Amino acid sequence: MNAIEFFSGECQVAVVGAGHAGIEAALAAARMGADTILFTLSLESLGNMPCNPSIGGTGKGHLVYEIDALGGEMGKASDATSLQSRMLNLGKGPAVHSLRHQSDRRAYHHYMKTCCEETANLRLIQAEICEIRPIPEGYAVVTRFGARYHVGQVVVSAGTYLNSNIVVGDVSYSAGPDHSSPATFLTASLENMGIVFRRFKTGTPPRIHAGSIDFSRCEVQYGDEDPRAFSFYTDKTAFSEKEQKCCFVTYTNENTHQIIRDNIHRSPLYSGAIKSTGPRYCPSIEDKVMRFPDKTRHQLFLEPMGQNTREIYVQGLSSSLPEDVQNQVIRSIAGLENAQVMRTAYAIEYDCIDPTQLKATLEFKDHPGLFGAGQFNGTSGYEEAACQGLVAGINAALNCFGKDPLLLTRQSSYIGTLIDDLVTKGTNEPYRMMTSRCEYRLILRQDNADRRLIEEGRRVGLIDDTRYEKKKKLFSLIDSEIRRAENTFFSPTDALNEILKQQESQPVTGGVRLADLLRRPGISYEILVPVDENRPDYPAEVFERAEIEIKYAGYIKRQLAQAEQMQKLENRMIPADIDYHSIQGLRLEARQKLSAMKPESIGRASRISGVSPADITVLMIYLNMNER
Amino acid sequence: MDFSTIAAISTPQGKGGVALLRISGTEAFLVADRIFRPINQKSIGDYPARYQIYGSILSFDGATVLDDGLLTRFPAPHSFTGEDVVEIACHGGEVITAMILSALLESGAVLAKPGEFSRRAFMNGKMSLTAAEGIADLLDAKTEEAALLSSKAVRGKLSLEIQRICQLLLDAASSLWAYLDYPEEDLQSMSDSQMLTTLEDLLSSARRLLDSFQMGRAINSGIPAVIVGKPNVGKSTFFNHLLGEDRAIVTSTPGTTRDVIEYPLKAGRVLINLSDTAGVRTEASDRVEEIGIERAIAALETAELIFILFDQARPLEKEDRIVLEKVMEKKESAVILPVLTKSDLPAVLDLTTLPFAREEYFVTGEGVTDLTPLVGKIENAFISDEAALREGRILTNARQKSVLVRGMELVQEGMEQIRNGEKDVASLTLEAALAAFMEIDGKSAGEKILDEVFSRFCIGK
Repeated sequence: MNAIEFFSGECQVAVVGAGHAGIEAALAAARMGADTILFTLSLESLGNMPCNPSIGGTGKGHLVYEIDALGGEMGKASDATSLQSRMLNLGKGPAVHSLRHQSDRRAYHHYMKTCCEETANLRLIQAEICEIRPIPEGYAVVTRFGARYHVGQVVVSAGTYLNSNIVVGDVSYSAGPDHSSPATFLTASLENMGIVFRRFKTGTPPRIHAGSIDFSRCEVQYGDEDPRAFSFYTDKTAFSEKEQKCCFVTYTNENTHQIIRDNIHRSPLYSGAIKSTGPRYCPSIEDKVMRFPDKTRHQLFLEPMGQNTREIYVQGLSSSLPEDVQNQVIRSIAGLENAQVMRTAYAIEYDCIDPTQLKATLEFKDHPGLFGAGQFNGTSGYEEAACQGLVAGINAALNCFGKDPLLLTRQSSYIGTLIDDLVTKGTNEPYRMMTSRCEYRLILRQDNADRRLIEEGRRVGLIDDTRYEKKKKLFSLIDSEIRRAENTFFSPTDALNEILKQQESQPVTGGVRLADLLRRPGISYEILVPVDENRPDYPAEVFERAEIEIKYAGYIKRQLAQAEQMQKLENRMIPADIDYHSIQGLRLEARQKLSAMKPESIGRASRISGVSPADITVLMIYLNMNER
Repeated sequence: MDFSTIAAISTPQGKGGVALLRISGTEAFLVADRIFRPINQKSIGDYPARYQIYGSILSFDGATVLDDGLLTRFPAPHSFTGEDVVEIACHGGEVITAMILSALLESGAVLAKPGEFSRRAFMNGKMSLTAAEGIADLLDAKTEEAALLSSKAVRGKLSLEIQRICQLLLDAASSLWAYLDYPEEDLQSMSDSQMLTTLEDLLSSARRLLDSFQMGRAINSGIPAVIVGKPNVGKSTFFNHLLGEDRAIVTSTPGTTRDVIEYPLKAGRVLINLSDTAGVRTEASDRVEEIGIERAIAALETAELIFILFDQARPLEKEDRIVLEKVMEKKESAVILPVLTKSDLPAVLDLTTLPFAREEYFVTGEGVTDLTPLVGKIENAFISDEAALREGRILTNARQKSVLVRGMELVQEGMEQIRNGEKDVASLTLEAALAAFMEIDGKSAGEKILDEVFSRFCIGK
């Protein structure tokens, strides 16, 4: 850094990096009234999707709904720029229904850029942040050109830009995603503050010109007939009338696999050139072929990159093989024989932190006012990034105003589960949200995200009165419909028994409660239309949600009881000055882990890997004795 | 709970050739060093670990040599408890061992509570919960078979079987999880019917284990058994015959055995806790006898082995029918063994009126001394799975049983949910089932379970 430093201004919250995390952080802080600056290496890369052109999917869909419920932007942006909408996991139970949109990548970027530009209290500045250092009033944030800003709170959401390296075959060079400039100073500056970094790896597949693909050799995948929007704000009618684009499915074959095996020595993953940790759930094609030799084919999805481009994203073909091998691989695949590759697949390595250095507010335990969010924290995915950005931005603003922080528990949300996993268990690979990570998934559904989180959204100031009242109205309709279903009895008419017969459900001989009918497998509001004569005229959403609540009432009750039980352990706080090494009976590993992680509560301590139930017993006895 | 250095006499109270004292904790070496002087005057720390050091055992003030003996050091974590452990072998005498123990306590150790050594071993990850329970059973074992069975549990055979069940469950559950999180990928995960088949396999393994519970108990703690029959049918004679001595008062006046006392007795490999009850009579002649009959009925309620006696020298009477009716109500939960008495007298009883096959009866009377056929019948009824017994795949206590049952119920619930298309719920139910099966091995055992397990230990082990 040669530039001469000069004072360039002040703000309450500075956000470093304008990816999906940074945007949500900056918008939330600014909307809450904090004077905010959002720094980005390049305004062209704001809200970029350097990998798959889609938002949502299993587990991730839940995150987007929750972001919307808290007053974030991602759901609205996705609705405004979607190309296709699909509800995944239908027929496997409502708790795992997951919405996914195909997105127009450039339109998404433009939407977010305009949104940031038009938000009050928010300044958007193109600059590389090279240094963050503590000063009495908070932090000094210094750009490459020497401009120094004095800020109260900093959110670092640097994505995959820190000392990033792109690797293709034996070619490796310093570059950020989409071959942009990397950030090469910030890691060292944060390391000076004692923050611990490690190196992760991820990758992206090639993009191919649609005109060179023979789609007749692929299976087509249409959007849903009843396309769903993520956001409450979106005009549902207009959304459902949008024209949807198709995706296509093709497969690798034995020939493809032979090409990969013949050239595996040229892969940087196998030659040892890449040593950093990649995600298990998102392996490169060479990894899939080598690790699962029995599989004769691997599925590939061809997804449009946008409305005004012919680029097609080949999901499933992520690779860091040399370009000539990639080309052979691509052309061995049905439909892609004459493929014209527009962007070569690459692997990217980058610096990220060990997230166990953070509190559940996403603030560094040892650096008040400094927050981390997104891939910088070791996660993967736009949605995972966005929700962390939202929480970090909200907490940065709450810090400015001296208000209580937003702490989302595992029992409250997928976001809470994600953050709890990160800060208590840490992660050894880029962390992806999955429904199976949520033990409370029956009560943490997409459909009730608003109900779970709206009070928090309102408390922090991101849900306005109009929206709040509208939501309250909706909730009361759902409740009154559930009451009606519990109190409505149908007589055992032939019409009813005919309906039941068609659904292979037991006919009834006496009066039967509507709610009890709905609890039967295969019986829904829709099927009961002919016999449910006094049904009120509510929006479809009311019946959909009432049906889930009624069908799952037993399970929901059970999970709520479990959640409450667990909450007791969460409320059992551990004093900050506890000396684990002085507690007799704690195993050495537990002492080390607990000393390093400093969990705030017994609940959190119980989830740290390497801490056994027996250790927790010892710890609780110790706390009991000391309280007496 | 206390984590100071503990000491106790590990061998039984009383006179013996050798006694063993054990010390465990961070100060175990320090404590032992104060009262033990190796023969060459070096300190115990100068010898390698696990080396038997010969020397003198001193009183706390060092003024008196109490005994001579062998001391062995086991540095952590390679010891029984996982802590620093010292074992001192001395001459076995009540007084001398007590004096050495008090020297140890004066040197800084505290007296170990019952089961504390094993509890620490479990806490330090030195053994699984089933292994710990196995040790408890080993110490309590009343028969050779029980001892062998416990020793198999200690060696982890039961753990292995539970791990196998957990693995089956993991196979099915992980496939379900993958299917929910990756709906669009051709994962080659299990189909619903494959998943259900795997779970069904798991259930039958679990059922076998559950069936083994009765066998485990038959060998370990004993089966509650009772002898019933109308007055004067020969209950006391039969009882004494089983016990091989004159324990109950035998008279020809009905209703002379009034109190219920339990007598443990061995029938082959099976341990029986036989209740001595008063005669079952329709009309008790006096108050005392009434109490006796009430007790007999209570014993019948809890019995798992019922000897029902019929006098073959008399026709079936009203009282026989009343007793029989009462006994048959128990046929789901108890093994019923019919016995014909007074075989020395002419046969009158019409067996076709009774609900038993001819070969089910054990026939006794004056002059009959051989109990082998009866023992065979009892063994047949309770040793249901010789292979499981050989391999130690046996549940031996009620805690393991109740957790296993809970896990099985959850698996069944999960299967129903899969059939109903409630895959989201099923994934959670199977997760809970896994937690239950793991709990059998103490993988997620709470404080309550631990207390129960460890309260059963005798001091010093």
